[in-house]
Amino acid sequence: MRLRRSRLYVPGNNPKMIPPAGLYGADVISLDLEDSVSPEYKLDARMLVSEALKVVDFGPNVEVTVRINPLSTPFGRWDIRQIVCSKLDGIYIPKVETCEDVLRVDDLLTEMEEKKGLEIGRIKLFATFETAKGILNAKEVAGCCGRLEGITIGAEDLTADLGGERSSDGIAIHTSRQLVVLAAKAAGIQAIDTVYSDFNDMDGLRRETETIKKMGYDGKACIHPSQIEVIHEVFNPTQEEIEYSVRVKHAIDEAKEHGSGVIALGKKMIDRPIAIRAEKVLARASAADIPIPTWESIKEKMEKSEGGI
Amino acid sequence: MEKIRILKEATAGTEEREDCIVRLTPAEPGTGIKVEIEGKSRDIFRDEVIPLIEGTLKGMGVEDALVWSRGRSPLNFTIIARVKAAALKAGELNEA
Repeated sequence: MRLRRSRLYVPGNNPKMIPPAGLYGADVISLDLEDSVSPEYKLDARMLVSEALKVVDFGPNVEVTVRINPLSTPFGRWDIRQIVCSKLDGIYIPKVETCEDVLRVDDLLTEMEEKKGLEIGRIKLFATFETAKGILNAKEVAGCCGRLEGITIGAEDLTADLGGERSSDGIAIHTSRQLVVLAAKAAGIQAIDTVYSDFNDMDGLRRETETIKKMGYDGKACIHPSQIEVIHEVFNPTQEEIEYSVRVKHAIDEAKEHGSGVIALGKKMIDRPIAIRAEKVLARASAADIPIPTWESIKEKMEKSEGGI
Repeated sequence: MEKIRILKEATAGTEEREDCIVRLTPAEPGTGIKVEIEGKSRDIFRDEVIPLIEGTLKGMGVEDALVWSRGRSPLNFTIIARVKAAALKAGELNEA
């Protein structure tokens, strides 16, 4: 399971911000060649990101991605040709509206991997929907390409396309968020949410992150390193969830050992959704390097407490 | 390697910290690459920066050019990127 709780945008034409980008603890960094770079600096940014990818060590656990320009612009094709290298883990494609938008990038990427002697298919793709048309095609797009590991929303452009207004309750993009998470899960890939633009409002960020986590999202983009900690706090399973999941797993293992078809935890039956959720919690804790207590230690703790097991 | 001619003046980079501006200007054929550096740490780093700029341009096939650069403590990858971007803007080059 690849953990993508947080995805930090890094302006692609800023040499001061690129080298430390991996130090803040984000699961993913996205060196940005698109919205943060004005047209007259597109070439400068592309070369800077390309050279940085060759020499900057972003750390062992961070997924290094680049947000390219759309292939519909004069820049997108050059972006791919220049940035493909062994250090690149993924490409975010902006303004995706159709499967064709993803498949054209996939073709070009394969061509460049072949040309540069890289493993075909190692570099993953992520599609961003920023128009009503894109959102309505999310279902088809999510399953159109083997490289695609996640889909996401670009809230600002999407809101503008919808003719709505950005607000702290996110009402303008609420249905779009639901459609994207449905499309992602149906295709077996991850749903990653848009940025929370006000990086001074940590309470607002926390509320929004809690909401999208409840909706099924796997992570959230951020525009400032200070947002990473809050996002991780929300996405990391709590100690209580982890301990409960260990108990569920133990109950399942014990029932299997005794050949019992009925699995119970205390007086509560454990059905399939509970088992799946427990598995996911433990996988997420493990991926986030959160210590998972043993069943024995939990049992001992519970025996000492009033409630018992 | 194909010879690349610097056909027009072109600039890349910014005046921000840890960045540099690189400006390339056409030079007479056979005059080679001439580099002029400005900046606070010019005297300390010129022995390292000038070969870096020359090597980057030669690696792209550029033989003749006038280079002017002013930096605010850029790392080597930034200098290389700015030189390459300026050369791509100034000459008849294909990026890939």
